[in-house]
Amino acid sequence: MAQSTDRTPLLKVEHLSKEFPAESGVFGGRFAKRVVSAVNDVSFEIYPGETFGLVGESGCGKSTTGRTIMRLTNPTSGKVFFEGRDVAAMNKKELKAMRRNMQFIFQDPYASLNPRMTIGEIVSEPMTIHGVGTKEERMRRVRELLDVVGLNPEHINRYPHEFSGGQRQRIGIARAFALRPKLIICDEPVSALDVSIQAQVLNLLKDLQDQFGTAYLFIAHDLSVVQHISDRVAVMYLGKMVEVSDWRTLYTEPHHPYTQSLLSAVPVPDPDIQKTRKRIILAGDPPSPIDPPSGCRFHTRCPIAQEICSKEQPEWKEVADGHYCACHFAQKFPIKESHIDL
Amino acid sequence: MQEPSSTQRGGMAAKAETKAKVSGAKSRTLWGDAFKRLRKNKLAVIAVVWIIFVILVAVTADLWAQQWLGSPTASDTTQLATTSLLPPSPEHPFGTDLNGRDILVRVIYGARVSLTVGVVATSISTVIGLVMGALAAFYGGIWDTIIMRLADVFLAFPYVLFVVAMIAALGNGLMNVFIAIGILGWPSIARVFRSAILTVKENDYVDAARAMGASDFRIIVRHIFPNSVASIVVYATMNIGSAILTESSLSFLGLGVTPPTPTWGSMIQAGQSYLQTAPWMMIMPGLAILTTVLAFTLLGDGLRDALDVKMKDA
Repeated sequence: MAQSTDRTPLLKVEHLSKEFPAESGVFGGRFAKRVVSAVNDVSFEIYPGETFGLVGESGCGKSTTGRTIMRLTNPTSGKVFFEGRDVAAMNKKELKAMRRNMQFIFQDPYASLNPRMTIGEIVSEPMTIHGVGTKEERMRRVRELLDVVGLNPEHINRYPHEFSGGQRQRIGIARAFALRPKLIICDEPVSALDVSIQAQVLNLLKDLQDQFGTAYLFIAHDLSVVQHISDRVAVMYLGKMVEVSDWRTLYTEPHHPYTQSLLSAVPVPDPDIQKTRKRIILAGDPPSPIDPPSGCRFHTRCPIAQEICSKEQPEWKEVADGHYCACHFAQKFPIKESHIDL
Repeated sequence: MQEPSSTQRGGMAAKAETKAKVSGAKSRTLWGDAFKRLRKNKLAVIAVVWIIFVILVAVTADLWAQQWLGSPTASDTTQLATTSLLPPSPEHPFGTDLNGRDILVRVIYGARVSLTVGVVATSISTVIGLVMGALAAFYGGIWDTIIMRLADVFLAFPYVLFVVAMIAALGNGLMNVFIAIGILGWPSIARVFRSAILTVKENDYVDAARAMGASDFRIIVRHIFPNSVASIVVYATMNIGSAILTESSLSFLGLGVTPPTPTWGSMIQAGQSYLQTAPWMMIMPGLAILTTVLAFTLLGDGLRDALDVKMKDA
């Protein structure tokens, strides 16, 4: 990543893998032979103040990646360095100190707020846990935060159910920003919201980033949402990262056939152009991560797959400056129109 | 990748919102709403009134009962010929027993034993059950296996036999009755609490708290407990009734609380030889057990309906 060589990464993920037991037995599945390989050998970096988008379809392991970085689940193998320290090797005390600088925004604004706590209690909880300030100082800060995220500070004593989905997501955002963390993992923060509210929340996240210089790991299944906010974008398929680049390159010159097919599915808000576009329709469903395909995991659905694809795992190579791709046939627009059977 | 159209999504979101609002409204004012629903349940109201009445009578007994009806324990042997086995009359509303003691006053003092056993034993069971259930559900894995298998072992023994064995080992006395009934009651409470926690634990706000760096203790106390306590309240209420029943069985068998302290169970036992000639000796304490245990069960039932989220609009 040439534009970033002068900076040290805030978060560095190296060969991260996470497997879940696919069957439960007498011993809770700890000796199960079959495993779901949810995340497989994923590596990337996030620099201070940038937004790193992570996209992929449901079940491709993007949320698991986020949760493993936060150590809400423990990685099976691989390392996660936050400010140069390995998160996976931290003890409880170090983990708590780390979490002051790394926060999480959840997808479901209804499930992520405790229904029995007031907004004031919810937003001040991170400060309470980390012993920041006195009670009055914390409450003053909560009012500030509510104001910053566009909520009425007078509502501090209300309960979550009295707010709409968008407002509740703002509460979740206020909570995440309470300790001014350096990195926030946003796990599909807008996909549960109405489209008009999505834009408002995305703009709020952008404004807050400008104000506080926070880095985001932005997880989404919607390329247009990611495009709106990300500096760099990574695409995941079936637990593996297939392509990483700055968003402009990724959107204009995709090198991986999967990325290209995803992009072809994003609608264009001009009916005349939309009519002439050819969509790349992938055949079938994603294979089960219990028994992932050999070689390149995408070969079963890839329109340009060759024999080698089912035999050898494609190498993770730099195809352009800061642009990485894992495909045997990585090149600009690997899928030609002649490949598309319409 | 194709999303549903925006109108569809809007409609779905709006629907989800109203739904969440409804359930949210309930969850927030859970106790207030539950109280309102409980008030509408006639049986539960009668049960509450009865329980309060029994408690008041038992607590204030020293102030009036003995002056009116005589001592519940002392017996005047010189007058036995005229006072023994009298049927119910205005002077002795529940009649008298073999030793010439008034049965009403003995039932009133027996309520003290029964209520204390019910409350104390249930408290012991609940505390142990909550801790065990929380450990099993929260830490899972090996903890879950050990604790729940242990609970299975406890539940596999015939309950009364187990209590009798414990009393036999510990010796007689009110304290040992508390301990025996209390300790043996934990497995069911642990099971109920464990399943409640497992449900609540799936919520994102528990992960959110963990992501903030909250300690396990804080997560349990602030997040999991307030959202899973309703089922325990119901279960503990019903458990009071069954603890009273167990204590009565023990007293009936001559274990636990020692004479002459009156207990409902020992009064029934004393009356069983006179079932034909002085049936009030058995019937009166029997009615006391019946009504009190029934009241706790009905209150538990009422609480379950009142606290049940799904019954809200009914």
